Amino acid sequence: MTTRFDPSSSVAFDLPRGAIELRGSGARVLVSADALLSLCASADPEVARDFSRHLGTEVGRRAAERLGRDDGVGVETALDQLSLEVALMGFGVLGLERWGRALVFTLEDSPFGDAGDALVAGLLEGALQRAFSREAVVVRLCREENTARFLVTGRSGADRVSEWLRSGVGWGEALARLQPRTGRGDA
Amino acid sequence: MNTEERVARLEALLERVQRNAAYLRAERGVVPTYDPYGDEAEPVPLVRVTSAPPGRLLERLSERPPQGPAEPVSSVTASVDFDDGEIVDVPADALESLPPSMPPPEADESALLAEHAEEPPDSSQRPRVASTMDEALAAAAESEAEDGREVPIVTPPPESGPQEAPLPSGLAAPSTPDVEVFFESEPPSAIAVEPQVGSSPGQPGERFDSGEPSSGPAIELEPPAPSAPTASGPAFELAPPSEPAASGPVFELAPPAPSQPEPSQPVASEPALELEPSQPSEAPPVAADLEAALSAAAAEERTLAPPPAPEASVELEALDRGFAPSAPPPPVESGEVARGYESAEPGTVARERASEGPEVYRPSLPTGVAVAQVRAPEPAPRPATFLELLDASLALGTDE
Repeated sequence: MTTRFDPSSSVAFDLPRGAIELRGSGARVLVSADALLSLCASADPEVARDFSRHLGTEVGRRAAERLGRDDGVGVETALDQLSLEVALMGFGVLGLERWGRALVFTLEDSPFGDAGDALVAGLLEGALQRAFSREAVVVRLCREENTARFLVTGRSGADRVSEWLRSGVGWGEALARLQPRTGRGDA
Repeated sequence: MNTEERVARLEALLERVQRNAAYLRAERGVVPTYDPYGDEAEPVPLVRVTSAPPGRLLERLSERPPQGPAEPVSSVTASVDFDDGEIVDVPADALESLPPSMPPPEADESALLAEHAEEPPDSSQRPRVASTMDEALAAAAESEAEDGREVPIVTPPPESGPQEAPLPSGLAAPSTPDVEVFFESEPPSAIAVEPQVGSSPGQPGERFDSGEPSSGPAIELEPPAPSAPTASGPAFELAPPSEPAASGPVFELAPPAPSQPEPSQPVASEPALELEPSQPSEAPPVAADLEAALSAAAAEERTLAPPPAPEASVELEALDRGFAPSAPPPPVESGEVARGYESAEPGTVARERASEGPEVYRPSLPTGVAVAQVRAPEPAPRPATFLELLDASLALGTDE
C-alpha cells in the first residue's frame, strides 16, 4: 500500500527565476480566484468544463502516482491523496460522505463560492477518470454556507437527481430515491 | 314494815357489820382465790367510795332517770369518789335504777371469780428452746398462724398516716363533669356531636328539631352518609354485635333480615351427647350410640334443607333493589364479559346486567398476525475499497 504523503516542500518558489514549481509537475502560476472564476463564467460551458476536467486530470495523475496501480486502495487513502492535491491547488478542503451506496464529496472553504461549483465538479470528474479510470458524472447537490456537496454517479443517476432537484425535491430525498429499492447489492 | 321491825333489822345489820369487821380481809371471801399480784397486792374493790356517805350515793343514783342514759356508765363511776377499802352494800332497788348496760356488782364479781378460777395465769408458760431446726421452724410457723398477721418489714414513716396522699396528676382519674352546674350556668344550647366519618371538622352536623321546646339541650346527630340509601341505612349501623364480621361492606352483611324463627333444633352433634346419659342402665355398645347419633344427624340435615330456588331468587332481587345503588360491586373483567356474551358483535355488549356495576371492556386483538409489513432499508454494504464505493455510486440510477 501507499504510504502517507509528506507535503513538505511540495511547492517551491524560485524567486531568482521568478518561478513556482510544484513537485512532480511543471510550472505553476498564481492567479486570482476571482479572475479565474470570471473567465470560467464568461466562457462556454463546455469549454469551462473541459478546462476544469483538465485541472482534475493533473490531480488524478499525481494522486495515482502515489496510490499506485492497486485496486484495493482504501477509501481513506484515496481521499487523502485527492484531498492533498486539491488543497495544493488552493481549491479548498475535500471531504467524502457515503449515503447508502452513493459517494458524495464535500468541499469546504472553496475560494470560488457558489459560482465555482461547476468548476469543482469538472475537476472531480477529471481526477476520478485519471486516477481510477472511471467515467463519473459529478452533480452538485447543495451548498450550505461554506460547504458544497457533490454526488458521484453515472449518467442515468445524474440525470434523475438533476431532474429531482430542479423539481424541488430535497437533496436528501433525491439521494433516498436514488437508492436501490431491493436493498440488495444487485444493482 | 313497822318501826320495831326496822329497828330489828338495823340491829342485825349492825351485828353483822361488827362481825365482819372482826374478820381478816382474806376471810371475807371477796377475793378468795385469785391473786395475780401476789400477797402484797391489795384486793381490787368493785366500788370505791371516798367521802360521800352511802345514802348520798344512793341519792345520786336514784336521781338519774331510769332509762336512756345520756352519759356512759364510766363517767358516772368516775364521778363517784370512794375511799379505799370500804365495801358498801347497795340495795336492790338502787341497783335497778342503774342503766341496763352496767351489770350489777355482785354478778360481775362472781363472774370475775369464776373466770379467774378457771383461766391459767398469763405468764405460766415460758418459751422453750427448740432442740432442732425443724422444731424451730414449726414453732415459728405455728406462732405466725396463731397471730394471723405478718409483721411489716418496713415501718411506715411517721408522717404517713391514714391521711390520703394526693395522686399524681397523670394518674388521677378523670373527674366526672358537673353536668348540673353546666346546665344551670349556661342556657340550653345545642350539643354538637362531631361527625366521625364523611365530614370535615369544621362542618357542623345536621340538626334535628323536634318541634317542641324542651328543657334539656338540643342534640345534633351525625348526618347520614349521602350515598347510603335512606330506607334501611341506619338499620345497618345498628346491627347487633353478635353478627359475625366479614370482610365485605356492612350493607352486604346486615340486610333487613326476614323474621325467620331461630332453629330450635339442636345441632347434629348434640343428640349424640344426649343419648349417653339417657340410658345409663342398659349401657349399649359404643357402635350403637354412634349409629343412633348418625341417624339423628341425617334426619336433622334433611329438616335443614336450603330454601327452594324461587325463594332464593326473591331474596336476591330484594337485595339488589335495596343495596345495589349504595355501593358499586367489583368490576367485571373483560374476559368474563367475553365469555358471557360470545354471541354479541364485536365492540357492543348488551348491558343487561347493569345492576352489577360497570363492565370493563378490553379489546381482543389478534396476536401473532402481521397487519402491515414494514421493510426497513437494508444497510448498504460497507465498501472495503474506494473503487467498490465508486462503482456502487456510479451504478445508482441504472436499476430501473
